[in-house]
Amino acid sequence: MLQIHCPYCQEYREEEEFSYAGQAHIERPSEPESLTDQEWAQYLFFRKNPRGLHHEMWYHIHGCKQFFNVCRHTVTYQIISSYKIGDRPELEQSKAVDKESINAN
Amino acid sequence: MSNNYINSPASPLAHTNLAQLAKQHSNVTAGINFRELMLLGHLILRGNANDPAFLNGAQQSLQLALPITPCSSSKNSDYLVFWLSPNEWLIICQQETFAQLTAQLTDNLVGHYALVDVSSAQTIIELSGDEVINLLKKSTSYNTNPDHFTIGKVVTTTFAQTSATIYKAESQRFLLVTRRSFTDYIWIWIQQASQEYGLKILPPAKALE
Ligand SMILES: [Zn+2]
Repeated sequence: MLQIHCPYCQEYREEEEFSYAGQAHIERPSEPESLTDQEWAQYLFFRKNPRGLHHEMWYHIHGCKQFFNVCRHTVTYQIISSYKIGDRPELEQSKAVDKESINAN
Repeated sequence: MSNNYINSPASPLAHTNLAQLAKQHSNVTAGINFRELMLLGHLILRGNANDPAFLNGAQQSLQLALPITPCSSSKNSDYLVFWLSPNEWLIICQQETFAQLTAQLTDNLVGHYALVDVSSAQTIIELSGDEVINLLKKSTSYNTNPDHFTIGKVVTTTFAQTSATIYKAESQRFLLVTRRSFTDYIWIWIQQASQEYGLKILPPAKALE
């Protein structure tokens, strides 16, 4: 069971209050009509599947009903941070950290 | 303003005849006391908590500041207000005050806001007694430690296999705001979960206190 910090309720809640809502920070292209089919498909269907840090959205469905972002390690399940929609993650350069933390395990 | 539930009021627990059960239980003492606070006015208010004009309009209408701290509440003799999310509050009052409150809010609020009458969509179950914390521990994953779940705090969380908004009114008295269609399930759950403590049904009330 994960304990997830909801940045809106400002406290830790049990995982069962939340539902997973997919990869975070996906920006809708501002001019979809100018994209190639491949670029559009990339935006629409293709998602990261890293072995390491992953920025993802969670939905506090049984609580305040807000979406927010979580940075979670997909190997250890450790949650590095959770932050509001619209905020930037603390660990932008996740790749370097990825390797370190995987080697550490 | 027409309110259908005023014309045909019915609690989601009407079929259980709580008033009759309460008569049978009048001499019982039990670890858990159950009381429905039925047919109260429930109003959802939504707006921007960072907008002073919105907060001011709400305060003028309620004679009470909206609780803007997460999971907090505020109250006076007429209203009980729960923080539900950063832009959403639940205001509970007696049915007699409801129309007046709605009119005042409509007068005092400007700009982008929403008022939704959810009175007939939910009800309130009051749980009290020496064993009430133990009953909650069985029913919700929320931390019921008195240092954490303090008096006046209100949390929306899981309750049995559904969810409820739980308000701590006193150290051993809680209000559960439950959705209408789930209330019968919660009623059955509470009866079973409180078997080991004993359950006393109190006469349903149409007021907050
Ligand atoms: Zn939350």
